Amino acid sequence: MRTTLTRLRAYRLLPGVGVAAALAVGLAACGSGSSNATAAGQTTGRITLVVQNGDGGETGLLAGYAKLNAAFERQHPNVTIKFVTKNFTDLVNTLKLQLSGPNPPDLTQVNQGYASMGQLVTAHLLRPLDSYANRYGWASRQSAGLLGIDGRMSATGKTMGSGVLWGVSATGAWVGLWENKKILASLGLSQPTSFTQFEADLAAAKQHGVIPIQYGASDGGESIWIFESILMAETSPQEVQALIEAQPGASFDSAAVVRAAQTLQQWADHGYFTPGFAAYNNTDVFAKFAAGHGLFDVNGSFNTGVATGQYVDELTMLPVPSSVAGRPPAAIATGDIAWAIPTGSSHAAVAAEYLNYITSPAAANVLIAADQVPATSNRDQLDYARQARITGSPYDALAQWIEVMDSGVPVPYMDWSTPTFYNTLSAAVTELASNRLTPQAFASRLQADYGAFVKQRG
Amino acid sequence: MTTTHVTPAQTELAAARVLRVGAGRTQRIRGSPPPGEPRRIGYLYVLPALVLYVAFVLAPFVHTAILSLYSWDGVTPAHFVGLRNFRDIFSNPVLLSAFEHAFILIIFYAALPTVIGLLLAGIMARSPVRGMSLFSTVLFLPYVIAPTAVAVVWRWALAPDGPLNQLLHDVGLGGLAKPWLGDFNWALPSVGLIGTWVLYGLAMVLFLAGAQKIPRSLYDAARIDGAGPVWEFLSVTLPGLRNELVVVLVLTVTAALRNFDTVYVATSGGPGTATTVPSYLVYNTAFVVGSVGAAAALGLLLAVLIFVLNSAITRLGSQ
Repeated sequence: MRTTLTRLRAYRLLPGVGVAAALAVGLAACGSGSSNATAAGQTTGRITLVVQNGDGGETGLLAGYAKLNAAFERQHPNVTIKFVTKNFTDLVNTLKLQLSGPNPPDLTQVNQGYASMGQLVTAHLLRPLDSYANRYGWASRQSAGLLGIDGRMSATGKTMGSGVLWGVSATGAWVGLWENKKILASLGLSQPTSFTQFEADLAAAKQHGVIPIQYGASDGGESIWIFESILMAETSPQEVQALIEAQPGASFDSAAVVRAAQTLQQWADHGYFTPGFAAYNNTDVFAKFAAGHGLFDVNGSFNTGVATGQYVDELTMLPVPSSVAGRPPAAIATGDIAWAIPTGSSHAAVAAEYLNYITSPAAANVLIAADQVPATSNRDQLDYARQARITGSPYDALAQWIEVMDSGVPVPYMDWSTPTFYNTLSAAVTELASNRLTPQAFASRLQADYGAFVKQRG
Repeated sequence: MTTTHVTPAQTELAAARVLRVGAGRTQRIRGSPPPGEPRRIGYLYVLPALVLYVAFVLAPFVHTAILSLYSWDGVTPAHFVGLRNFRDIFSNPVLLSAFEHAFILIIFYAALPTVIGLLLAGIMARSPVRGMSLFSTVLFLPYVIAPTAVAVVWRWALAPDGPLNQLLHDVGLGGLAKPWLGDFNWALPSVGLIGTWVLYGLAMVLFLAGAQKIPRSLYDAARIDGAGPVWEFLSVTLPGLRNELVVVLVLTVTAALRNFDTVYVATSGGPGTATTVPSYLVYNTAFVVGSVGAAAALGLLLAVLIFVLNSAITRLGSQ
């Protein structure tokens, strides 16, 4: 039974059936387990639940999950959790082969965006989670906006942000302005509340020989975050979201994009970035920042575990201020890579039960105690965080995340715009900041990628 | 001199001995092809290797060739697009520049190590150096280190605040310091020089081995004819190393064109696309972007390019 199913699937997947396809089927058949591709699977008897994550290297978060796993096993004595940890790149690069093979995990993290979640949805390799969401009441835990950003997509995998629920996040991953409060005070500056004041702080830091923004371009992420933050501050978070979700009429070849590119290029010209930024990656420069060098770093809340020791209380994290006064706080803010149930999961019902547990308010407290920002969070949890003696940057990261979720505007990562946008945007920003690309050419370069994708998607 | 020549009488004697030994089996052997000629049983001997070769080299190659004609994201059904993937390569400036970078890397990965290796081998072969095996071991070491480790170490050494720039500042050449791997003009040569550092030891060891089998009498003859060190190198050492030269060039040109690990670790293809090479794009297109067909086309083109260049080198070497 199992072998036949596998064989059929493999032949459908591999175009031009060759010797390699036959070989792959042979290997796949060797590794087959006992599972059923459609049923929810058993919930009683001894169960080993295979849970796969892409948080390798994030020791604080993994310690939090270890506690959650132990608690879940205590509540469900018949369940043993096999927690498989991969690093993010390994997870993303192997997921398609793994989920289309005969032995997928029961629950796995999936990167959002067209290139990963979109293609898995199109290939029917993930299960819709709406019925579980209704049964467990997930809508009351996380806002509709956050659930939409993290895990909703049309059943064709072609539009994002609405439609069927395919994934839910357990922790938040938001990008904002990391600030060294001690340096800020020593320069006689105050925390920026407007974009103009932020730029004035940058100039003042530069004047005093402090690196205004620690920036490492070589792995691309930070290039994208800085550009997106500027665009969001100068226009509005809603416009940026419309662009990323490719709403009708959205285009990168716009005056707003050119203006944001000009701002970024001016910052580079003024020497506001780490000297030699193109040779560093964001981990390199955040390590420098976390060791007390540099006034700001546009980086993620997932770094709360990196800044430790005396620096925990010297650093803080806040949303990049807007150019328009009185606007609600906005930030690049989504869940961390979302948890999803593969179609081939042997224990889908138990996997959903586990997902329900790790996104519960009780689990959120466990994650807070591990210095993490849980996706499920409300203002009461700040009291819990204080009781748990969470201070400094981990506390601020949590408080600002709750602020953005409650009364602000969360916006997805701009590289979700097209499958190739991470490469296109990060390379273009580095060239822009190195004066090898004009702001106008920058906008055209982005639109060439974006326009082609939107046109092809239809 | 006397022992190497075999007289006709000795040959007859040996033949007679063979006949005597094989006398009992003469009848059976009659009618089969002469010993040493190909027989069908030979296929059985090569079968294990052949099965592995077909399964792990030929079949994936053919499969890649087939995939290159499809548009496929790796999971949903693929559809046939003919040669579109190849047309896209030739109309995409980033992809074309990746091949251009690979050719520039040949200078650093193949030409420079060959020249340095030849020079070192020429010097060492001319007059025996005390502790030569130690020298060659030390110079060969970079080739033994895992490429990823090499790239990590050089990434550190070439960092904007790394030891190389510090050294330049310390000796008063601070003006030359730059973010080597983050500079649009210097990143590619920097990656290339990492390759030179890794590969010149390999070239040198192969050349040294070759130089040892050049008869000393040729050097003596050249010296009697009044040849200086340069002329001696050009007229004796270099021609004697022709086969080694072919091997070194095939190995290093291949290393240049399929370079992935150094670029992946040291620069991720950046800054911008300044160090993007075909192998890196194959990985990126297949696994990050999810266009397996386009990646297969790129990989196939790279394989063909390596094959053509290497046959050209081998052909030139045998002329």
